[in-house]
Amino acid sequence: MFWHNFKYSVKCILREKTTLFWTLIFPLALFTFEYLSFGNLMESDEIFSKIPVAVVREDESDTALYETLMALSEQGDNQVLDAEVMDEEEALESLKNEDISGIIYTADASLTVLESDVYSSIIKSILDQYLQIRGIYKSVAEKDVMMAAEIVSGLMTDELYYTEVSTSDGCQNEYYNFFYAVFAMSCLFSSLAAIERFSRLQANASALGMRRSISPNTKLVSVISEYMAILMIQFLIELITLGYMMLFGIDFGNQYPAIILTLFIGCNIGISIGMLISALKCGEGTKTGITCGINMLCSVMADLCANGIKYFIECHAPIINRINPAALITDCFYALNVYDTYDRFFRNIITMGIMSVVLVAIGILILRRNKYASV
Amino acid sequence: MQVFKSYMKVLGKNKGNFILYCGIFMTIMIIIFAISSNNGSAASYTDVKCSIAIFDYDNSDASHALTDFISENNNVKELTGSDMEDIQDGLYIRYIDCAVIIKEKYSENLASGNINQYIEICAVEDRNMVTLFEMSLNSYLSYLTAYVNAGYDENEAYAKTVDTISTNADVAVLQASVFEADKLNIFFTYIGYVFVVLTITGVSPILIVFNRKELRDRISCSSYKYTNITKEIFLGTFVTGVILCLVFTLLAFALLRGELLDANAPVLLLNMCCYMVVSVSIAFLVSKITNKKEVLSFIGNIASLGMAFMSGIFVSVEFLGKGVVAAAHFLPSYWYARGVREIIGTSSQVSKDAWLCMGMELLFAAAIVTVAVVVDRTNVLRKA
Amino acid sequence: MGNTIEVKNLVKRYKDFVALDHFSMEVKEGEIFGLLGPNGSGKTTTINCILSLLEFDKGEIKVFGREMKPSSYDIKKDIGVVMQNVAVFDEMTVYENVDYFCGLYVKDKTIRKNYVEEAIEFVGLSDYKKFLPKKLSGGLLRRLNIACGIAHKPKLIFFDEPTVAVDPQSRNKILEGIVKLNEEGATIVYTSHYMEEVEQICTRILIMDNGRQVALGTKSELKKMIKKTETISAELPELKSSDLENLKKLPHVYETSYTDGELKLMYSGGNHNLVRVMEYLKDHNIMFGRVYTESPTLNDIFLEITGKTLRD
Repeated sequence: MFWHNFKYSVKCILREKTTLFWTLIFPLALFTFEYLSFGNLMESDEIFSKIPVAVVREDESDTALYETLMALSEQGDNQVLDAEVMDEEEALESLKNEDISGIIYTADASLTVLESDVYSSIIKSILDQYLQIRGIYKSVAEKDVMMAAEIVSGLMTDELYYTEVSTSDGCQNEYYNFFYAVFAMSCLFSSLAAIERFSRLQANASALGMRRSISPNTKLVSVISEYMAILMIQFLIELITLGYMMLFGIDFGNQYPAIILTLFIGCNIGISIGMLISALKCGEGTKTGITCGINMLCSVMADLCANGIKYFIECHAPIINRINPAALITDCFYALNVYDTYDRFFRNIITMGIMSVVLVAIGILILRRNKYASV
Repeated sequence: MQVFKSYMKVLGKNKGNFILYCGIFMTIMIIIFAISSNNGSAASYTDVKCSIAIFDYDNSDASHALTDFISENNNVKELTGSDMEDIQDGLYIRYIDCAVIIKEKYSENLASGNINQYIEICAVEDRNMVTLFEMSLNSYLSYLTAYVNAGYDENEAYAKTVDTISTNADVAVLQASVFEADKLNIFFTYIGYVFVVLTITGVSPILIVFNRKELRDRISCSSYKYTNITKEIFLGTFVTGVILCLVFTLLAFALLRGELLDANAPVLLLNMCCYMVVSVSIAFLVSKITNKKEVLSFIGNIASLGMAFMSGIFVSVEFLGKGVVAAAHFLPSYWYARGVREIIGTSSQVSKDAWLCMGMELLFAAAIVTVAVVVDRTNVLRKA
Repeated sequence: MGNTIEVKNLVKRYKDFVALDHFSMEVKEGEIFGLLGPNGSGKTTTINCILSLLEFDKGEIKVFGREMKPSSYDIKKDIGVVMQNVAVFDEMTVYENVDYFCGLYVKDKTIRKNYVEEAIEFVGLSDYKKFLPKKLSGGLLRRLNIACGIAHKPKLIFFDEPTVAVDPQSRNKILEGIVKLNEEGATIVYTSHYMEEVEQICTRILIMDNGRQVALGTKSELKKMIKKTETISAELPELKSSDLENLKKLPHVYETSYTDGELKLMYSGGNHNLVRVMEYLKDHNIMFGRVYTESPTLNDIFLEITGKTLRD
């Protein structure tokens, strides 16, 4: 009886072409828009690359600064600037056209920029260092010229006075949060399909529900077969979405079994939420509204619309992140991406697993009800 | 106005759902608003400040001096904890740009100059902000070490280092005012997302009631002209949009208060109303495309989120690629967001560009309604 | 033959509204039992209580001699239901729908295949096996609805207003089919507010109103419950009041009416009443058109007992 119900449930879901289409298109379209907007944003905007500047020389007496700027513009791993000598008029024109980030006047080591941003701050920092080292030389040279020269030559090296410690070998692109949120939202939106399907099992929700309720089928078998059918289709959609994102080069790491497990459990949570809501005694419109509301709120709180909401909640009310299924799903992806150990991942997975089991159990208990006050 | 009256009756019957959706998206607005920060605009040059978390395990005068230096020139932030996981979380979300760990025996090793193992920087490699901070930190440490190596005692070396660091290059800024994200901007920009999703998920279900075949046929059999039916349904939708505008205007005043009154409030609200017209037009079009309520949620989210990402609502337009910005010109949400920027960016008179943006929004609304009517007629004729 | 269904003192309330008020009925094995009543009289509520879909406040229900519960799967496997609302999957073809519902009762694939084919042929949908429900007319859809309810060859079948909004051809086919099912051994419970259908096929009829039994018996038994035994109607362009008075005095006439050129005489017994009427009209040279006699209908019974018609 299970396979009979399962087979026909799958057939019905696959034949509802409009709903199936939008369920599939939803995560793909969302990801595509996000990727177009900021797919390469980290590389283009955050990652440091040489800063184009114009160098305006009023006379040849500013050798030290000029040579420093040219040294910093030498191609290689240590290249910081891309300096080009120009006259002032040409330089101002380039600056207004945003072809360069700043104009350095070697005569007085001053800087002209279009606006206060990180690039202008870096250029200024270079000029500050030049002026500061010159100041140190003057200051130390009052006591000991030899010492001053030694110190200055020491300061002009690339010596680092700190150690860089890596917190993760994974991809640190914060915009991936949006992509994780697509998975979370898509998993949770499987609740809409669940509401529609489980209404067809309830005698007080549809004529089909009535007919199925009077068959010699235990409700448990009907519910589970319907559940498994929705789960199979929804999980397939998530896998297609995963493959689609990978085609665009999104790096999820290579822990595919764990990623697939996350998606599987995510689908379970979405479907079990839908199952529970379908058992509520209210109209179809209200059920859809409640489902959309829960899904939207959970997804927004997991950084769907703006980065930082989940972290803000973690700082002020972490318990919300522990029970928000969307936050748990995105956190699983994040943990797999940046951490070598599985502690955080398993904590999230176990929480999600318990949530889905509890929701399914409550849903089944309510749906198993065979008699109604009104049909 | 029979059809309009029946629309209002259906809206009344569905007011529970409508209020639910309003509540949900108002909550979302409040959440987004709560985490946004106010950055002032600069009239002259100011150094960009990095966000730094400091963990001082040395707790000496030397480490305090370092901490003071970092604090003066950057924004110091507290994390939820001090282990690597907390640092990683803070770095990933860009809550902090770097974490500085001053290990024990830092001050003891300062004299010898071998301090690099006692200062650890945790950061996302190769970021601009990290480069900026590392340059600044390395300068400080190198000067301090240099003075110590030059024979100055600790206190003198600190004093000299502080004095050295105070030397700054002169910087001139060509653009006097910089458009920074602020709460007013964030609120009105996010309206560009909320209005579309709210109208599609909240208003379209009411509109699709009128698409039911039996109801349509019955109305069509009457002497009511098709254009009148369409006009009245759209009027009902418009009235719903006005209600939404009022609700969100109240929310704006509740959250922004004085800021709203200081800014060009009437023009901002007018821009919002123009966008409301666009949103209800989109809802009107979507109701002609599908009759299924569950599909409305999908379409609503795709349309609203897609437009929000592409138009500079979720991600600032200056970060979007040129191709994306070019494509966004075909989206009404782009003109709305641009209008918000134009209105907030100018302190006194509203620029021509702002009026242009509002005009574009209304043109889009007209175009969308026209398309909706064509789609509707095509569907009707196909089924006839 | 025992009772297939026994309902005793059934009470069902929806808050303050009493849908079933100490309602009792018995359905004998092998009969076509008609449940007749106006809209809102409690017919569907009764069916749903018997099927254990609805909670009820008081009473006892037995099917096949055993108490009916939601978990009575052994009883349910012998019950078929044709719902008032069409309950089929829009995404499945005619064949698939019947196969699905038959499959809930019959596990064996070979047997099920035969049952499904027979059911589809029985309702006359053999040419529509691959059609989706949305492509079927109202009548054909109702036939599909029936096929889904009877495919597994149940011993007890409930038909809840199966001919609502159905064309006459389909309607006749449905009624013929029900009689055939009964001849094959199924006990049928047929609810309707169309008295003509109930009169046509039911062996015993229960008339209910406001959740209570109004009358119960075979057609002839029910007709004996009321005064009226015959109605003679005649189209008369003209009729003097004296003639009307005289006609009233004819034997067994207890009521007369003459409106819009039609004379009606209600009889409470007697034989050859029509002959006497014809003789009177001829003897008094009264011009007449059509003259016809009617036996009392279930509507007459309902009207006499309750004071309202079945279609009120």
